[in-house]
Amino acid sequence: MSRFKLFILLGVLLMAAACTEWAIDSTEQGWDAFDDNDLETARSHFEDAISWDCTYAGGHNGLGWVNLLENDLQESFNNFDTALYYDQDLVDANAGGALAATEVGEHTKAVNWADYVIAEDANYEFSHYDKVDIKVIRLTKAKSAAANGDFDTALDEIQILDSSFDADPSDPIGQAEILNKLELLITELYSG
Amino acid sequence: MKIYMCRVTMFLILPFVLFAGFDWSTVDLTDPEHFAQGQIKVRFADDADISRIQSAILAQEASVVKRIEELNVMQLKLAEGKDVLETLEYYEAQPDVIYAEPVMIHRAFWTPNDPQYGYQWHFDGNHINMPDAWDKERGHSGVIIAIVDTGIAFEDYDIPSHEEGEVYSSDGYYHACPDFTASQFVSGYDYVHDDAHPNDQNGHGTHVAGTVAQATDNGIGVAGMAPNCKLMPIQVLGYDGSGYDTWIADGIIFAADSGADVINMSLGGLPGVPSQTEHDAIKYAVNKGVVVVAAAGNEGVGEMSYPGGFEECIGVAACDYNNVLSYYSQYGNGLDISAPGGDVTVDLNSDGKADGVCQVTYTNPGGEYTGAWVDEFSLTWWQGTSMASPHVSGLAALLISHGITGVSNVKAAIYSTADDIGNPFYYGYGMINPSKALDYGGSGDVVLQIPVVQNPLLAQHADMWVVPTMGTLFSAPQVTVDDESVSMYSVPGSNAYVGDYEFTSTGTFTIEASGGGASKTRQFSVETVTVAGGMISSPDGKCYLDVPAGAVPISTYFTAADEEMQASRTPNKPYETEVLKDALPIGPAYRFGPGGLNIHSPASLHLSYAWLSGIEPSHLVLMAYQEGSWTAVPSYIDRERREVVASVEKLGIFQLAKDATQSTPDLPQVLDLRLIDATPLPGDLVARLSLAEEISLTLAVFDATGRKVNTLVAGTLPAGEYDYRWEDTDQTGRCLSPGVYFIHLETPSRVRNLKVISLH
Repeated sequence: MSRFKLFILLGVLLMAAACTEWAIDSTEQGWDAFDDNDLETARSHFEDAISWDCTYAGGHNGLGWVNLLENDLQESFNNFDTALYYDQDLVDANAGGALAATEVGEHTKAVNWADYVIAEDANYEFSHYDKVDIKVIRLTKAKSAAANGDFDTALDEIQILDSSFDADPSDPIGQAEILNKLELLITELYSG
Repeated sequence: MKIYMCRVTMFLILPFVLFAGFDWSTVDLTDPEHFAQGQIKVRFADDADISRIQSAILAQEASVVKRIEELNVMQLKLAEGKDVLETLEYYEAQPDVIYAEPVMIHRAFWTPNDPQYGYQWHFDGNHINMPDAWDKERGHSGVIIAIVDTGIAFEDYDIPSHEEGEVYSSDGYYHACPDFTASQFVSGYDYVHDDAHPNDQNGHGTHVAGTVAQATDNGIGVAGMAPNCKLMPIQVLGYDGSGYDTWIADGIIFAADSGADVINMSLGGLPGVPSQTEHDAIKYAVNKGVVVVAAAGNEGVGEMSYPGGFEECIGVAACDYNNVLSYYSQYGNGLDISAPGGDVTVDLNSDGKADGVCQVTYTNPGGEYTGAWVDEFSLTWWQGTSMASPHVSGLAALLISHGITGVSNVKAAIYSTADDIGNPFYYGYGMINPSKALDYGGSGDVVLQIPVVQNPLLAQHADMWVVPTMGTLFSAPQVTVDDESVSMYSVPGSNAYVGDYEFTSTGTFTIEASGGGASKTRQFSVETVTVAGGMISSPDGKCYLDVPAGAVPISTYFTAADEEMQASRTPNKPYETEVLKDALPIGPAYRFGPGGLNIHSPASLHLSYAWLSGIEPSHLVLMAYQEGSWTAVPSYIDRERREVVASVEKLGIFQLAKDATQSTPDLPQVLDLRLIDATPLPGDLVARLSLAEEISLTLAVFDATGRKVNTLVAGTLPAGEYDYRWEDTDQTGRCLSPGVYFIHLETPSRVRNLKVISLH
């Protein structure tokens, strides 16, 4: 390899590293804005991060949360799906992804992503929005599991939140009891 | 003892049967209130090895007290000092034992109050509407309801010597309740005293039986649900209202073998502690086609007592005058239905009587330590799930009289026609509706439930479920939310269906589902939604906030809830502010949360005063709860819409108040902002503003994200017409990009937006 080509390659590598650094910086600025409840500024920073480095999962994750809270659920799901494509271990993206996936009919992904969060951190709490915690993730998993017809898993998650509850998941009456309990636990989230 | 042993010798050897029973180490078996001390009961296999049974009994130095032949259950008395739990574990480990459990003491669920005369509100048109039902069915004499309770005051009978110390009577006789003289009875049994005269020693059973089949239209006392049906008195509870579960099991079996169609049990034990013997007896009865109804219990906890909690039973919760779960009623898994049970601590219908269930029974009923005076009767108002349960038993009897036979059909008729009054965890299928149940046509026995499962983070997104808990749905059910149709999808491996729905506002919604010939309606309240702007109404519709697009962070959770602000103010006590000294709060306070959140541009708050009378509107003032105290907010009176309106810049709690010293001005009827061209080119006339009088205002342009990009007017304008031409520029004169923009008008009392689209 000529010295010139080596120089070019080195430059490209340095440029790529710098782009990722800039993507990380933009993402941090995005979270600062997110924490100030300024979602539009946050969106702008997360988009900047992706434009610097489209493989940077953190930027897609941030955009996923902005779209989730702005109620654009399909776009949010796409963002989280992309984030997890580049980094499947990103816990926050698994959490947000589960919340979006359950509303766009991707129940299997919702259950799997919620499972990942539960396995990684049994006391999970999203650091940028305290309404999202392990209870919300478990309820999301139960909700999607039921929609998949997996009432056993739904019951398991409910029993972790309320050990006194029991029902027969194979019986229609038991299934109705599981769903009624799920309704109750979620409405309690909002009234509490 | 010998007799029992002889019968036991007929048993054959059967393989060991494993029974996963209740964990008795989790309850206090030394509690004499709920468990017979030094006694247990054991169910042996039908063909158990007698020599092993004998040796097992001898090994524990136990003696047989009683045997329920149909169930092969033996009640054993343990030797002095024997530990009950250890003995249970010993018997559980024996090969011929199906289960071993303590002997439980169950009690009547009731709370008597002072007797008074009054009306049976629970039967009226605002409750279960019995007059409508009686037009369709009053019962058939071939239908028998067994009252498994403290007995019934059904005959004049010389008090036997062995019962003399338990009850009181001026003439030494049990007396028949005068309002039962026209009622019909079949022979019952007294398992407390082991005789054929189950006369009520307490008063509870008579009250319960009265609700089921009191003589009606006879010019005496009060009415019963199914007056033409027959009652079967079965005494399983003593003068103090308590009895062993073995007596109860015997009573159930007797009723089933003696032709009862319905069994009512207004009794039970500790919440969550089942008696397997009772359960076996109930299954025995249900297998014979008997409808078994039992009370939920009166401990006010989210766990059912048994037998009410058994799947085979219709478990009944109690509701008060307002059809709200009574404070004492138990609820939870196993609850099936609700019925009036009353609340004697209140008089909500202002008839001068406590709101208990009204029936005739002993004037001086039995208590914890004494029996009743069994010779004097009067109207009494009692509360309890004991009082709710006989409403359901009476309805079951009416349905059977009407030709609806079979346990599952009777249950389907009751469940599918119940009025939805709240979450099934608290109310089961809802409040019984006898008239509707009597119109039940079968519908292939399909019974629907409609759970609503919201997203745990985004409250406006919900899964609408339809679950057929009886019967089968062969196609997707029709579901509407406030008449808006929801697409339903089949759930794999289940007969249930689910659909997605998004609520766009807070409030209470009506959800209707129909399928398989059945239908179901329920209400669902949404307390929070995520909005980007728009109209947010309080649930009672008397207050709303009109939020301009982009005025709040889109992620803001809004709660529009009416609530009594007891914590922050005292009702009827004037607000103490620097400006107002005598402003009295009126009506509920309304919360638009989260409190204290700044709004980027003011929202207009509207509070209706149309529901008030005799108040001069100008004396109304709007109060806001901010930073821990109430303050008066500058507001206007809109006489045309009968509203108090104000411009608010912070979310929080708001309420109307009245102050005779105030003179709140009328809303200026001066504004008109009209759109001339929704897709203007630069310099085109876009909007026209008309002012009939001088007013302070702001006119500005916002982009679609809620960011203000240009201020056109900010100050006071005199009366006149003003045309607005848009140059598509921001404050600095720089051209804006194409897209959606809002021309936003703000006055102290009104906010208005016009949407325009820039195409250049």
